[in-house]
Amino acid sequence: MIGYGNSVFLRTAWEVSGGVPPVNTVAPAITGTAQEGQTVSCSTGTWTGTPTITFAYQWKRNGSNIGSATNSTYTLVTADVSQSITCQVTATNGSGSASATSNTITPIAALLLDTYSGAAVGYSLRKLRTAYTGAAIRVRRSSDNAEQDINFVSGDLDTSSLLTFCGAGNGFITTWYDQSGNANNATQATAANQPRIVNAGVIDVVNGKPAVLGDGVNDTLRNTTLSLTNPTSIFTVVDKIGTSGNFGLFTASLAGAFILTATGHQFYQGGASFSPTYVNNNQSLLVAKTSTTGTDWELYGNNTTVLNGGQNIGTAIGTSLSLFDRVGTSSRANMYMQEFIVWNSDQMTNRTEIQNNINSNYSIY
Amino acid sequence: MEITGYKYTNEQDAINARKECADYYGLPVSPDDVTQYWVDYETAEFDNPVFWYIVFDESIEQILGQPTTFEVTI
Repeated sequence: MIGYGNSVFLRTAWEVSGGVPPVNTVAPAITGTAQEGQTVSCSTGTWTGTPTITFAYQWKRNGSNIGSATNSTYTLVTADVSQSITCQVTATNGSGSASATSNTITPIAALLLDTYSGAAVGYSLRKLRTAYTGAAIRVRRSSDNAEQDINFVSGDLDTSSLLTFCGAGNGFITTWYDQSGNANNATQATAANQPRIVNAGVIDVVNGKPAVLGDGVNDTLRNTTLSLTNPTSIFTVVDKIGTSGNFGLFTASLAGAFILTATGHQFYQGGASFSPTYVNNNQSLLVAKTSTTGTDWELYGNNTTVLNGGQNIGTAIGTSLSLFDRVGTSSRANMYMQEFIVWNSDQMTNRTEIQNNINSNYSIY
Repeated sequence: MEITGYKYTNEQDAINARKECADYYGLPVSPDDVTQYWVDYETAEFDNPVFWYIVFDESIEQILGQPTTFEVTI
């Protein structure tokens, strides 16, 4: 307080110090991938004021403070998925303080193979792993047999590019790229044996999502470098067309219950009766854990136990993979496939969560 | 199992027929393309003597001619 004549003036601290309190001129900004498990950063924004400003951070979920999230970086958690996340920056100097709030981000859920890492192979028409930056599929179009990679857009197959490339003709899969990071791509070098994904300018779909169609005659996709060791955990989304026939990948009768190839990845049922009729003409999520002892195996369809140990079905192990196919028998599947993932490990403790992830995407059951 | 197609007693003949079809359709279109053949041949490995065959498709009739019908042990 300063007296001047008969007047008394009150001075603020900055007037006394000669400083200027912080004023925000450019708002803070959150950068990074807005996805569960990813770490995002918050900039200070731009401020004016003297003396030197120091900054404090507070991350908020739907406007409420997030516990101890007071650093410039923050790792997004499950509770943040689909919520409004902001960062409040408080600038302080010797003359005062002020706050500004960043842009809002709305994180998406982690991708399946981000959370459950270590897959031996992962084929899908959706993106499975954030770090995978490659294409989803390579397609040959019928009009001139030219080929082109088709990528992902916002986590799903870039159907717009696919249709543009194929035009009014058909599109066939030459390569289904492995998203696991192991480059175990499944390929087909023979045009007549390539599964279809576009039919006369229309994308093949099951339940509204793109699907790869094997014709049940000669269509297959193969990989000869994949190494599987027991126990393997297999998750696949398929839709078998028709109600009869034995086919590779999954056999409805005979001895083979879950056959990837007749020479390698046999998952035999030992001749017992087995008819997973829900596979026929219905989109199904099939899960299998192969055996290390011949009896400790598990098999599920749409989250229901189909068969569960108790008999010797052999073991699954080998160094090749053939989709839509039962190698050596000319038994090929007339079916749609949308996803096929294998872990060289027992994932049954994670089965429910993995199934939930898959089912939330495909709405199977 | 009865198959309609093209039967070869020599594998090289099947390879040549496969190449003939690929050449007809200009495959591969580009050097980096995955697609190398139009059709492939299969081995009747459970038959004695072993033979090789290409399953009939309308798209290859003009290249390989009229198909025949034969039995394959599967």
